[in-house]
Amino acid sequence: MVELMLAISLFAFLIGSVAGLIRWSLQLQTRWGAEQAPHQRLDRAFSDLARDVESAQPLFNVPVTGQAGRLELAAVERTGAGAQWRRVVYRLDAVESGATLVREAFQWSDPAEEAQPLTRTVLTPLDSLAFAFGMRNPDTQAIEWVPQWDGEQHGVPQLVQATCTLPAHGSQPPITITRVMRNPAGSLPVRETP
Amino acid sequence: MLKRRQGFSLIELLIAATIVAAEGALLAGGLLAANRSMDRRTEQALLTHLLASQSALLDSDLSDQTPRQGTFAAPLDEMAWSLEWVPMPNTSLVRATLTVEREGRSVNAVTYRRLAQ
Repeated sequence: MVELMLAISLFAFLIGSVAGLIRWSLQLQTRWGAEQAPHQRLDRAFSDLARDVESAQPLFNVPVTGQAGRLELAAVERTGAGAQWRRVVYRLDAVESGATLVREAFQWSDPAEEAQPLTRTVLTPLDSLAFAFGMRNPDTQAIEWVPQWDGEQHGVPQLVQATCTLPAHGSQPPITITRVMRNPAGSLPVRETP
Repeated sequence: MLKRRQGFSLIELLIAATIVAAEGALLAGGLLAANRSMDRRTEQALLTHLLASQSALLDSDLSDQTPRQGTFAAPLDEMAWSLEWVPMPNTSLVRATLTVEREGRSVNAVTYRRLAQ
């Protein structure tokens, strides 16, 4: 009887220890997963942006328009029905928790008034996101970043910079990450000095 | 006549408990390894962002072959980048190897550019 009690106690202790270890591991995994999720979303958002910037092409009536919180361009997208022109707009929407980056894709064949864009939230939540566009300094030839781009004057930009700040999450402080995207056929104009 | 044995002996229970404990320890160890791997993947993604940005800033024509290096602005100042160029024989191309590293871990990309005249 004593042997049996001893064995059951030992068995219960081992099982309890293992269950605690597994529960601790799962909690740790959940916490780490939650902390890394914003980075994974940012990774996907930058991939989408880079793909659109790299495939941007000059198209009549759709000049690239760039502002700090908005980017509009024309790009060719490959679909099941072949390649189609799209007018793509990235814009920053304000929401309660900060901001959200939204991508709208208009089919070129749709009339402008009736166009129903394919809208997708690319990145949320965000503290801020700002686009900037590369120009050459006329004196030093170094690259300078300007917050606005006039596509009618300069065409497609060669360098687009997106600076994104992710909000604090769990034990992670807010982090600002800058990504530069390049359109090989784009222009890198000299910045006009006032 | 021998009495028929009932239930498990202490040794059998101990062996069973040891097996269960070993399996649990292996499972917990596997989960911890998966977590560390996820953490590493996040760092790898960050290094790849920085590498892609540095790569985008490379000129189409390279005019000199001096190796370059630098660091990133805070809070990413633990990360450093370097660029090495090797001229390709019998061509006007150079092979540029761009590396971004942090604490011994690195990602790199190889690209080709024209050698500016």
